Amino acid sequence: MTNAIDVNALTKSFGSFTAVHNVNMTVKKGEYMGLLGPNGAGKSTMLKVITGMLSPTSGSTSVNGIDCRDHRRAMETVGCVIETPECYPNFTPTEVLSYVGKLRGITGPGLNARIREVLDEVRMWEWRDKPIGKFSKGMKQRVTLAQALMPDPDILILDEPTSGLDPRGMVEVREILKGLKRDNRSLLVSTHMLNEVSEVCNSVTVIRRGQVILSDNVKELLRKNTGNVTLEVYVRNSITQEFMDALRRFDNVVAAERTDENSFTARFSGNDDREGIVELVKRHDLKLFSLNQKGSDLESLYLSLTGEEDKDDIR
Amino acid sequence: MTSDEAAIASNDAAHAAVPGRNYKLPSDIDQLMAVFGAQMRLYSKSKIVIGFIIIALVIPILVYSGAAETIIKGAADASPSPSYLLILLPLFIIAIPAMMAGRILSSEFRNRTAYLLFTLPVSRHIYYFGKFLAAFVLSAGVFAMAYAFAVICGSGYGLSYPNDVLGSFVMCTAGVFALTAMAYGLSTYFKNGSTGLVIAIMIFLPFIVLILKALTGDIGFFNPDYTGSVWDPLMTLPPFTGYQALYMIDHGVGGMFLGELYSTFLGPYSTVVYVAVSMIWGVLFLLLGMLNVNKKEL
Amino acid sequence: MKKIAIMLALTLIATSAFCMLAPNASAAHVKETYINAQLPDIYRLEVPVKPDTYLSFSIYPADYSNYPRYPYNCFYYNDETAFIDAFRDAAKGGPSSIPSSNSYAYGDVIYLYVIAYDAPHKLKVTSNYAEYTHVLSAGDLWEESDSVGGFQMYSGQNVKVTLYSDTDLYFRTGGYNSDPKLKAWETTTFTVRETGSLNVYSGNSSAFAFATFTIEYDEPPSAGAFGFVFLIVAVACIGLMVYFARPQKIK
Repeated sequence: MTNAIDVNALTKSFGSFTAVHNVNMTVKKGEYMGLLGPNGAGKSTMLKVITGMLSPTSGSTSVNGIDCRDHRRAMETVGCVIETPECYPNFTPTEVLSYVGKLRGITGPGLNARIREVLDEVRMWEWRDKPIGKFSKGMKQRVTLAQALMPDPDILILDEPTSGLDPRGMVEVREILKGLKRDNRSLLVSTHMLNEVSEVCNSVTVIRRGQVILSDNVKELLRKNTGNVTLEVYVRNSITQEFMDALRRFDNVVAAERTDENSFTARFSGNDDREGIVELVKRHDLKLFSLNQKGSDLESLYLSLTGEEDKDDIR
Repeated sequence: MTSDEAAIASNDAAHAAVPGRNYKLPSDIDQLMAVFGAQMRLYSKSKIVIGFIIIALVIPILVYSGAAETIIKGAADASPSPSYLLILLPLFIIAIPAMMAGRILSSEFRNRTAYLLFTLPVSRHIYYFGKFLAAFVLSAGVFAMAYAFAVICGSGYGLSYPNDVLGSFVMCTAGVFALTAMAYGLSTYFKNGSTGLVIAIMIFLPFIVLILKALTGDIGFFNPDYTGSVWDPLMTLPPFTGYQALYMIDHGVGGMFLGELYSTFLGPYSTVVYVAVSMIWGVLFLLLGMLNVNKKEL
Repeated sequence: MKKIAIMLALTLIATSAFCMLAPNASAAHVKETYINAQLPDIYRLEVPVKPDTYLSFSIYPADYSNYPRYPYNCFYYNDETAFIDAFRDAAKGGPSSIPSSNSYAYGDVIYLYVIAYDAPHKLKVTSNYAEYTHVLSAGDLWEESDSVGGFQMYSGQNVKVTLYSDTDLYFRTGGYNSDPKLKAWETTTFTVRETGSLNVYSGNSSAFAFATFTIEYDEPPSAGAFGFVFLIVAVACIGLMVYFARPQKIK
């Protein structure tokens, strides 16, 4: 069975800088894949090569078995939103979707019906005749998502669809994406948002510095890597070096860091031992204020894969 | 099965797996017309375009109210002039295309609307030529309107060479094509478009030719023995189209000093030569822009 | 957009109506009759030529003083049906030339016709084989006020001339055309090749000639009529924009 998206030994360089290096990736039919990675990892570059905005330095990409260099045929069943594109500010959503529809072969009364469906799906029907220039960023994002949905595509490729949105906007877009799931529709979404991946996607590929470092089913990944937990602890008095040394010698603690005078984090390779930590804190005459698990299991996994220096890139 | 057949087969298989919709891509011509129509719609919302149309429409009012005569007559020469406003023809030929076509593509890249369009299943050259077609049709239309009114009004001043008027119009239309293509093709190379550059080139190129002719003593105005110059072929280039068109209908281009100079030593070539040079000029610039758009990485 | 379209349409209708008021002479048939009209004379010199004949000719003041910068029309016939016009601006006073031609056969004759605008001037014609000189006298001259001419013609226009006297006539327009010769008592219709002033000259190489003839032509339509053609083109182009800008609303 042909895969939805195939990336074979893809390399893309810009002069002496290699953004994507020898990447292999597959998105199966019906798969919702999250492409995860810090800023500058090469996610957008990869998506741009797949959608024809960039040409590969070496390697190939194909969609439904069609080489992406045959741009017209490859993109026929693909809807995509890459790099926060803009719509003409003087156009209304109806006009934009009508234009896109005609380019995709949707004409006649079927066009109006399809525009209505799509605007309903992205919850923009009541704004259909207002100029896009007056919309908020979230509304514009939904219109660009709408144009991607116009041909009822088999494959959706989205580059950070919730980027720049407020929390409400993010939730709305995520709900829309979840609502799009159906048999044999495939999704490739690049994102920083780990909870987006865990909510929407069923598989994830992690990319760092232009290379894939992990690709697996989300549930399977979490099952294999249970216990990568980070605890964040606040105490009322000053933390001593003696305490930190004891913490680092604690069972299953792979890393411990004093974040400030009154707080520390401890990362466990296996199951966390909260009771043990509480006991250790008491033994060193520290008064416990709060103890929280920092981030999700997936976040912890991501951090462990991409390294501490990338932690600021995730939200 | 060839690779093409395999691709089509897998494409059809992909569609077949999805119940319901099957949208087939339209032909290149249909997509070209969709791009053309969208660009026309964009133009209809543009203040520059509406402004030009209004200027063209008020020409008869300016002429019959005497305003044109009052403004320009002082600069016009004593001999009857078909229409005072035809003096502006050389500038119209330059300004209209430069402003209509000089910013279309650069604004698409700058405002990121290209990021939406270039991911659609449409070849880049369809976008390119669809938008150009709209730019040319509208530039030619606006110019034709201005020229039409100037000629209609000019009939009151004794403009009576209809075949030459038709030839002059054909030459001007070719000039509009050349300059629209030049502005459009060059705009792909500049972030802010090519309007200013095109206007500057079109204004200064005649000066350069003038200087070249002066250096070789070939200016007819000063040299009664003038019989032609090695630089004459340069005067078939689009910047001279407007002057040649006016020369053709025996218009003295008024008191514009440079216009007088041009009219005295415009080359003795036929309309066909001017039209052919304009077409070649336009096609070359179109191809130049097409090459840039094809290799552009977003 | 609807408002703009209505505004443009109304302005277009108003200005078109305005333009209908413009002087717009309809095509009229003109027939002019000239009875015993005095025509400018042409001095004719017959020069035998061979395939390698190279002719040069010059016209300069007889007294070699500062010559005035008056132009001379100097043209030659190669044969009866093809009129090859070698127009030279003799104001510069120097020699002009007709190069050798492979189309000349041994025994061909070149007829050199000179219309002088002022006197006295000397005509000198030199070929590989002979030299001819002639002082253009008053009898060779043409005073502009004596001529019949100055009809404003455009290229492609048909002109019918009927000659009622014993004089040959020549017709010329512009500087690069060729026009036919009309023999005594003949009627001919010819097509003007170049826009300009049509002038009539006597074909006899003698002193002032008189001719009776009629000249008929259709006046061209005013160029203003073409303006309406261009307007249609303009409306079509701009109309396309209005068409594509029509409102797209979905209920």
